[in-house]
Amino acid sequence: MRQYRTINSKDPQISARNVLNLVCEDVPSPFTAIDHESVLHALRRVAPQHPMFGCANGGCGICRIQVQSGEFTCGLMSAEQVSIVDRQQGIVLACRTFPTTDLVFKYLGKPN
Amino acid sequence: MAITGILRVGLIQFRVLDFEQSLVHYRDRIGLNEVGKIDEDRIMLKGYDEFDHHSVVLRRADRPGLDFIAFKADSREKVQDVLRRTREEFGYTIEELNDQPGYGTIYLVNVSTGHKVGVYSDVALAEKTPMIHNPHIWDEQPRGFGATHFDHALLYGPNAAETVRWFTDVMGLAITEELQNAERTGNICTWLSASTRGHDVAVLEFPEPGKLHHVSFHLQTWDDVGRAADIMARYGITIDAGPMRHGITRGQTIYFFDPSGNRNETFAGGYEFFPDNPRRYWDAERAGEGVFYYNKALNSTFLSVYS
Repeated sequence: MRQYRTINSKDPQISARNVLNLVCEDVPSPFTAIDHESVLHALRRVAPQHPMFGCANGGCGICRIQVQSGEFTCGLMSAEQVSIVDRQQGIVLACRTFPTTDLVFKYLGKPN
Repeated sequence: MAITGILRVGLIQFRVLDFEQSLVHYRDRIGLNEVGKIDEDRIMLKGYDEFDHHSVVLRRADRPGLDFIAFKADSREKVQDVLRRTREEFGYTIEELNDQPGYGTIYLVNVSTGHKVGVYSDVALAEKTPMIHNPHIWDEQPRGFGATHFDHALLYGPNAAETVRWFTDVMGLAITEELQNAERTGNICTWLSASTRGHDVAVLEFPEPGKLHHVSFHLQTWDDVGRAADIMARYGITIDAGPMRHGITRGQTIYFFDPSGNRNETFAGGYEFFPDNPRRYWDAERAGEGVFYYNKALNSTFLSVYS
């Protein structure tokens, strides 16, 4: 009988995936960021209608969040949307925020 | 010459956060050709089917958005006429720009919406123009979406009616379509053409000055729009809306974002406009259909996401 090669959860390629838990107060349940996914792209899989989905490229400021706990790295983002003072307070754009640990954050939206 | 005065929108400079990803986006995906660097922070590009030296400049900065958009006039006399009437009738300040390779002086007018709108007449041909002798459709096979040229931009800013009046009275552009406000006291958005294009520029009344809604690149057919969508999906380019059609201008389109959050558009089809055509106009409550002809409703990002 022919043997089909399949991938299962014990495959080292799958089990090696880096899965982190994210919590946001206005999203009903915790969700996960897989591998090097941004907070925004992780959120889109569970809440595609969330108002924080805009340009998704660090420009528009719609996905501005404040990280309350957890570690992360950041990509480039518009200085018009996130100031140096913001950054010191954990205020960043979700589309350019890449968690390295579990993360808890609050949705802020565009600065006034 | 059949078209006189202002010929077309010919040059746009806008800001990007980095060059590496931006070049992949504009050169490899949209398909513009790299013309060269102006300085460490500016790169020139052009569509393969454009004759002039360059049409797009990316400037590296800490935030996205528009530096200026500029229109080509058929003569220095037209440029001088625009400058004189701008000073006399509108009192807008004017800056001279002399650092664009291949270009003579570009005069930047600070219009009421907070944008810098340029006018120039002197520009050299590009090193590599479309072929002219027994011409092939293209010399080298276009890359990516195969965008032919920079087509138009949509500007967001306050006192739009005054800027529109400057475009029509001083520059000599024609209004092709307008989206009227609910009270019919003015326009929410106005589309303007210098030639037979459906529009060279559109201006939307908006509280924040100097904002850019999108920069648009021309594709030839609806098939090209579909192919562009495939490329966007393959390479993870964020699509904002489409593929779809606009009711206004009838363009076949996709709204999507560059790696710095500037909105781009691919624009194909649309009607030919002639200056003796009656102006098309839309009621405010039909705005959704005007912009997104199939869905008939604006998406949440249309007014909230810009650069």
